[in-house]
Amino acid sequence: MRNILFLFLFILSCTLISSITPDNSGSSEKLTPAELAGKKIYTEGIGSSDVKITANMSGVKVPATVMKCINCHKADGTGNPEGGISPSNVTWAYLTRSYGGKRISGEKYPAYTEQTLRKVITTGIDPAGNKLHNAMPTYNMTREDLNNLVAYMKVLGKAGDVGLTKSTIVIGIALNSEQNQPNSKNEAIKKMVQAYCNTVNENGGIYNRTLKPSFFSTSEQFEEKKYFMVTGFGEKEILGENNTTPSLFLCSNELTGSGLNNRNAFYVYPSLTAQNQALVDFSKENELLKKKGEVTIVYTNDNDRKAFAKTLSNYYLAKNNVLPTLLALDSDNIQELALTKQIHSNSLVFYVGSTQLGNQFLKELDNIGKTPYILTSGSISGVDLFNMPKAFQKKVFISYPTWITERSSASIRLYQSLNRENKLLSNWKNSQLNIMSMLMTLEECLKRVGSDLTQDKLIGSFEGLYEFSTGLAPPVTYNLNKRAGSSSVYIASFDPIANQLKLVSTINCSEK
Amino acid sequence: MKQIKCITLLILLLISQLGISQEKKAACCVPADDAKKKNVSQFSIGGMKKVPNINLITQHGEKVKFYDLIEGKVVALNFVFTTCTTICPPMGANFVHLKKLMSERVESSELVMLTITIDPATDTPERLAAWSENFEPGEGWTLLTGKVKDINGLLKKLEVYTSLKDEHAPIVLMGKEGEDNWVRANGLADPTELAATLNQFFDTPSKKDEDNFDQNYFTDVVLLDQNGESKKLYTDLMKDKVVIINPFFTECTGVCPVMNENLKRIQEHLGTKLGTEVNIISLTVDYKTDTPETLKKYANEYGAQDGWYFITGEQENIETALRKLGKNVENREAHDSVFLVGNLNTKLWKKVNGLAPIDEIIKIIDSVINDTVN
Repeated sequence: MRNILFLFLFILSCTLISSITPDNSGSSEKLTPAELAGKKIYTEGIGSSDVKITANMSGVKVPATVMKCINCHKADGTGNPEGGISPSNVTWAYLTRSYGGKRISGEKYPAYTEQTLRKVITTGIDPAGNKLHNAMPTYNMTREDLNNLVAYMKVLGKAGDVGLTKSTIVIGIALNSEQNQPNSKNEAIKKMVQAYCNTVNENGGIYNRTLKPSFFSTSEQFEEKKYFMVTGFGEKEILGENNTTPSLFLCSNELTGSGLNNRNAFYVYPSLTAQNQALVDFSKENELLKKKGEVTIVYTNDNDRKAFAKTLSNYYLAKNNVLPTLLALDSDNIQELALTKQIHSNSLVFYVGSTQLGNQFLKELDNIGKTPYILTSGSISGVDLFNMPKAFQKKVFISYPTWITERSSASIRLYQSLNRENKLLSNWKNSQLNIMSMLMTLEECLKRVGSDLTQDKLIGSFEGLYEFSTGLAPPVTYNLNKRAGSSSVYIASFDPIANQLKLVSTINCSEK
Repeated sequence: MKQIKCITLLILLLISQLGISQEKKAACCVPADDAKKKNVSQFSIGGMKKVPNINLITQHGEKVKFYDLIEGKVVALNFVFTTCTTICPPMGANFVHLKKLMSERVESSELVMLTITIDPATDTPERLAAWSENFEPGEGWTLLTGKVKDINGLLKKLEVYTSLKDEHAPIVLMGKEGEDNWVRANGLADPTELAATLNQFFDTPSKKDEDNFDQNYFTDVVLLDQNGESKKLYTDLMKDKVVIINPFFTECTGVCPVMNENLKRIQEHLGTKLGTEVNIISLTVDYKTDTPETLKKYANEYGAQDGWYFITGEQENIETALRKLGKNVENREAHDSVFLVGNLNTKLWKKVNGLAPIDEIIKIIDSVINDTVN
């Protein structure tokens, strides 16, 4: 009896495996070089030769990048009706139907061949000799480009996006490459991701697709580009400037701008620059500075901190019409800097630097009886509030992109149950909560698209999120002009009575 | 206090509207027949009586008011949104092409080319600027965004509002502010047709366009006169002159001698005007027989002076000239006996029976010579 059961299970698992493997045919990893070049023409209007492709419409000639095929015929070739224009279905199966087709104007035409398809793209004349509607431009391109385009159009609509099959979605998880030792941060994140994806997959996946996390930490690994989408940590170094894979990261260094700059990139928190600048808004709102002209920015010259200090200085100038004094701090000049005339008990100091040097600097100031306001961003710098001189307890303010109150008990319970079942390494809890929150957001967006999934639709799905909360981070809202999901920056200070951090203010930064 | 403010505002508004409507009365004398012909519907945004003067922001971030932009101008106005991938890029390209065709009017700021976004919530000035750069537009194209409520209100008044932005039609509105003959046209139509429609709204035709029109029509096809010199039809024979054109052939023994007798009398009547103000152009309908030498002899028979041209030329060229003047015939005997009398400065053209009594012919010719621009 037991044997029969085993046999049954064995057969079942075999059929399961065999039903999964052939589905890989849907992925565009299999596109030939010609088809890939054709895809670039179809989706971007860019050919492989130096001669730029042009589109001509009623005597107007423009680069094909303005009027590319995908604009009207959609990624799958089925056409996107708009403004009274109904672009044709241009999938190969449709074009070559043996009984031909009929135009909206009533004229019939025979089935397309490779030859007549070339002709209609370049001249706008269909196989029956009819002129197409004038909203369809004619295209000038080299023979090679045309070959590639036709090659791609033969597989158009059949090939899905990268990293996507009928049964799997490959999610790239970017990891910072610094720590590789066991029990490290990366290990903790990996465990978290695996645990979360397993839970999703065990519950049926997303429209019958399982989530397949794939970890990478170098740009070379990313360059292989087999991911449908990317999330994780340390975006810029790994993905590069012109990433075209949909991505969700914690925050960018610079202000995000609108989706105009990079349509694919989404962030959970305001950028590091915005987190820094929120301190300026905070100081202005609370009138920390009584007298004009005594503002300094003290920075340590490492890890882009000089650049942050510079942008902070420009921002302060724009907001207050006062240019702060920039002072570089290192372990040798702490005493000297503390004596600087501009720094005194009624002045304002923005600190952009390491925690260790920060506390030494405060100690030095305390020694000579100076207690200026200290404003610092918790994400790029910091001051250890629990070990600083008493005199500063009411004068140090730190900005954070999130706050404990944004966490819901339900989500924390979910984390704890994952933790129990999977023996997560919870000494990196914050990072784990961050990646879990991003995975929850991705899952929501994937579910909203449905089974007919493309990267383009995923981006559209992100852009539809409004005040979406995972219960682990502040609610996120995205639209075409907004790429930082949360706009809140939380300003905290030390509460000596309870001996813990307390929230002082929430700044709504104007970043998009 | 607030109420008083409101009332003054109201009065100010009323006054400004009165002023505008008067202006409208004075300006609406241009006939709209041409626009009707084009099969486009006409409407009015005259005097801004109905169209709200909303605040807008250009693609460069400047704050402007809608009425300030169009006051007293001929306007071409279309509607797009930058995330529209289907019809908006072709409309943008078409609009820029139209701008190039109308460049003289745009540079003299008689014409303003405006594009209003129908998705102001998304289309920031930054987006509009980036979108327009796709079409390498150069100066003179203003793209506008603003508050959603304001723009929707304007779109409704202009009757181009759709509740779903994806359903918007490729419409371009053209007309002159203050007048009633605005037209709606298909923004994807051939830009040269749009330019032709737009040209009707200007009170004074552009000098360049006017010259070009005649020159483009008659062309500078090269012909030969009785002295064997090549003459360009428009530039050498017609430009800035009054012309008397008749078809003939030297072997014609029927009407031609009679017409030529008449032309001889006309030549006497014209005196010094011939060759300076007036040209007589006798075009042969038999280029095979009528070589310059033959014509020279023929001209001498009638005592033709400078300014009376007997014209032949290569088959293709002389046929083009005859066709342009409506005198082309299958066989030479079929030519008519009608003088075409035209004043190239005033565009007045008359047809005269070449066999009529000479006094009557001269009367008509003089009326054409003495024609003035209003």
